[in-house]
Amino acid sequence: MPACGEPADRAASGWRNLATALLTLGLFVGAGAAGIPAVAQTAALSIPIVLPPEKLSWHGDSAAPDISGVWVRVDSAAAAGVRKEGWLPWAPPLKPAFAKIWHDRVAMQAAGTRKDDPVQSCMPPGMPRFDTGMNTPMLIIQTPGRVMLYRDGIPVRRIWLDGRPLPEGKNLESFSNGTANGHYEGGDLVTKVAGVRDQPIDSTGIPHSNDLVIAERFHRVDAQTLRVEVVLTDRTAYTKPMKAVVTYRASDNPLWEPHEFLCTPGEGSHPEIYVH
Amino acid sequence: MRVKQALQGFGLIAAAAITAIAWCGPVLAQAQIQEEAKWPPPGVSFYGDPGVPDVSGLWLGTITGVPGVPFAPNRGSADGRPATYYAPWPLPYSPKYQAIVDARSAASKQGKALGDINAKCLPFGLPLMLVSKVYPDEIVQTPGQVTLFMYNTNPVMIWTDGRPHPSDLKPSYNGHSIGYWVGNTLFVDTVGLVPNTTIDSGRDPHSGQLHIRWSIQKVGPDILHMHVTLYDEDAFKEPVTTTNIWHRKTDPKWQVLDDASCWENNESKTDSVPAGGFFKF
Amino acid sequence: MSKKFLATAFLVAAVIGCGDITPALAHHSFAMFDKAKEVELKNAAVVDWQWTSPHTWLYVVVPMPDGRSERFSIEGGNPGLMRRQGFAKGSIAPGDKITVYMSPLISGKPGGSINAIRLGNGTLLGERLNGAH
Repeated sequence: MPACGEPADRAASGWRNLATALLTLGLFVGAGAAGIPAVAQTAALSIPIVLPPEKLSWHGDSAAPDISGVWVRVDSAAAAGVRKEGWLPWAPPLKPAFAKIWHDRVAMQAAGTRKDDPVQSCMPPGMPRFDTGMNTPMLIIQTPGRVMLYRDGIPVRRIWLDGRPLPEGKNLESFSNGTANGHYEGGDLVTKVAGVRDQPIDSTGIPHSNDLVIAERFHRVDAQTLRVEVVLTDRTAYTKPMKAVVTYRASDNPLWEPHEFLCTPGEGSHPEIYVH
Repeated sequence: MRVKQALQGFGLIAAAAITAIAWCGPVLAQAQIQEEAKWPPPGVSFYGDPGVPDVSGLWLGTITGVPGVPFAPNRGSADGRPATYYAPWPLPYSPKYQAIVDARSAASKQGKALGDINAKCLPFGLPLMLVSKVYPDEIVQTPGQVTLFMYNTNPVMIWTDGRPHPSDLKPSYNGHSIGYWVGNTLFVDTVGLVPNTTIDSGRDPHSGQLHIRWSIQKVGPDILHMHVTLYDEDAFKEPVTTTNIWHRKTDPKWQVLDDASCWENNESKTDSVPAGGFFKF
Repeated sequence: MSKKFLATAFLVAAVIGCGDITPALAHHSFAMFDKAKEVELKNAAVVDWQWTSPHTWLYVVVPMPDGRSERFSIEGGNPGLMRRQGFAKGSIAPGDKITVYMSPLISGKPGGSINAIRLGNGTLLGERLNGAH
């Protein structure tokens, strides 16, 4: 069984909650005997829906923070204003060839002629947009050996915690989420992501090269707050690193579930532009 | 609404009848499941009970096919094991659904694949992703939730925290799954599937009334038995069932790392014609 | 839908219903190929190798017995599947000379589905029909 590492300040209420659950279950089942379909019963009973025990994270590392659960962004990506998704410094510190790509995209966007935003073509947003360019709730599942991050309709991110190195050379493939590993350090989850597919890092179209490396730090500020710092380093495309910070609060919906998100590309979208 | 009708029609699972044998052995007659059933049996814990087995890890099942019809090279089970099948066979379709099967079969002979939702970049969904495996599944087990992460489709989340199916459930490709543990087995109830998913590699259909009762049984450290029964009064004259044996995979080559998108280079985008005399199809 | 709407919808995380709007399809399935036959393309010169979803694509130019060259468009499975059969993004590059073993298109057009590829150094990737080597 996975080891449950709980922070010292967390009450061990698992068994108390279980007893509550069974009591509620008994009433639930009793109502079932009356032949009422399950879904109608919940509305009829005034007993609250049973909640899972306080979030125990089976992270297998007693020193690890618990960052699991459903996190809702505090500020919207658009609220960052001109710096669309909060990237600093702004304007982005791009080397000349990459600055040209960006300026062309910005101009096309303004003229309504930009065709190469992969999101418009139903491609996944990839990294770092998964972190910085989305407003959907983020589900973090922590298990021994890896952390999974999931948002509606987007390929799940896996951060390997088992010490495996990132692949190198031609073994490092290009995925929209890249390949990520990480470790717990000083109460935070620290990650490194490489092998990110050629897609813009934000909605304005900032490009990157194959040398992009992304570093994240997940910091549990308090019971309700998670802060994610994202730093982009790209020796080929950027003159200095870029950084953004996203703040989340814990969802207050214990029954949150992901929504199915099906995308149909718009007319004139060309995802194959990114096929190299 | 269809989901509610399905629930009212099938009732809840008969608690007393739920034993491993009932799930793995003879198929429950549809009449049986219309009796007042209780979900789940009394005294059973929903939660990440320390007594339940650990089913987490990377697991590979077999493909589900048609008895007597072999798969072409590289098209069968990913580890070369023989395919598994539904029983009874032939599938006991109602006349209305047999007509759909016949139409698809005729179209296949002409090189067309009717009902191929994947060609439209729609998710495979359930039940196919449970019973016909060409890629491994990663199962992740956390309190209140057992999640199956699969290649190129949305994860299947089985809620084990006691929540019921929502009353306003909108049909989806994965449906809605709730489960509970008994001994070495996770019993799961899935409803709310859109009618255009398929049940096997032959694109056999089902209706919007489909109600899947399935289980994940850990029979050994490296073996899971997936027992799946499809209840669908519209499509089938009786329930159909299949068992798929999932093996644990530890070799790194099996790890699902891809986050490919169906739209990346899709041949259906006919406005992007390759240059130089080549073509897509 | 306008692009702006799509962008906003994405960032604002709308719950989007089942997308049943489908593009006009050059639709395909395995039924397009003659799986009982295997065609061998010798001395195929690689023009492009697309390591993409939902299918990988190989474009080659093949010298034919009558002296002309024919362009063949050959489809493979998605990268996850191909990777397990020994293929990789860097297995094949434009300019390589390879031998292709494919199930041909029933239509007779110059294309098919990859069974296996023999690289210049003799390595066989994938699996030939009937397990031939």
